[in-house]
Amino acid sequence: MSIEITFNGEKKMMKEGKTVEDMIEVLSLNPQRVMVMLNSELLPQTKYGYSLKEADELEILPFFAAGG
Amino acid sequence: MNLERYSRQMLFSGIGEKGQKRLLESSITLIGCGGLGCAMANNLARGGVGRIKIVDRDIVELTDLQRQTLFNEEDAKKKSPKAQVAVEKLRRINSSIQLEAKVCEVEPKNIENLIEGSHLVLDGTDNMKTRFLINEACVKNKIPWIYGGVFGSMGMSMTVVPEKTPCLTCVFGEFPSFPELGTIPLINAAPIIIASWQTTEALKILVGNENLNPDLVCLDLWPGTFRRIKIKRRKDCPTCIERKFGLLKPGEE
Repeated sequence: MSIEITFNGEKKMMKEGKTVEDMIEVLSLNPQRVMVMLNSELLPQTKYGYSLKEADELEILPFFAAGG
Repeated sequence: MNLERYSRQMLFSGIGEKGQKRLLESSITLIGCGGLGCAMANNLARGGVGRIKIVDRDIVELTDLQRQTLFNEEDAKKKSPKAQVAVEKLRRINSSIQLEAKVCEVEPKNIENLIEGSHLVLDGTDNMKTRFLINEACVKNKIPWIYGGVFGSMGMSMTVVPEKTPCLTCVFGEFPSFPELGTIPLINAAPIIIASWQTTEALKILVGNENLNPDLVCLDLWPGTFRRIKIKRRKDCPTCIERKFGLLKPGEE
């Protein structure tokens, strides 16, 4: 079965059962260096195994530490 | 007080003469004088923020000149301290405001002194540890602060108003969860545009406009994308709800 989520601001259809960890991998980002927000709330690293559900809003961003 | 030099800014309805007078009575601390810091200091000094304190521990190097707009080759040759050079340059730009340079590290033992009396703190630092320290010190002392960070052609900013908006811990989790990066790729427009976003938020706070940006904003200049990411306060935030300030002074609130 497929579900629809909002991933980094865009609607995306995907197979049920995908985790946040899978999505970090899709972006080729280092899980140590990302910030994950699920439905506008911070998702701690210990919960990256969360299986995405219909209508979830997921943001995965690299964190920006430099000051230029 | 001669306000003529600010005439264009006063014509802008969001500021006006009343707002300009408030800016001139305002005091800010700017922590970090790299790409973000130079652009922020330049904007705010020209805009007539009355007292600006610039804190930075580093010296000017040749590789800074690509993006740090207050420095030149002579400063790099002399290895002059950034905060001091910035203040000297800004004095020639606006001699009617008070400028102060602090050449030092920002540490748990001095941060509260550095920000004391400031209406606002601006983040131009180059590492997350100092940002979390700024977050704790500002939340503890109820001083608004504005985060900015850059990477490549990307940048991010959020405005933190203690007790009203999410703080850095609400959004990024607890320090230390991020390893620091070494030398990063960067085009000069990224810090300049993020600094301009930060100083616009700064003007709004200083003139008393409560219509602040509530989101984490994230832009990437290369593909030309801009996004707002909705953020919420964490109900169990150790910093802004439980008021534990572990970085500031271990074991003390």
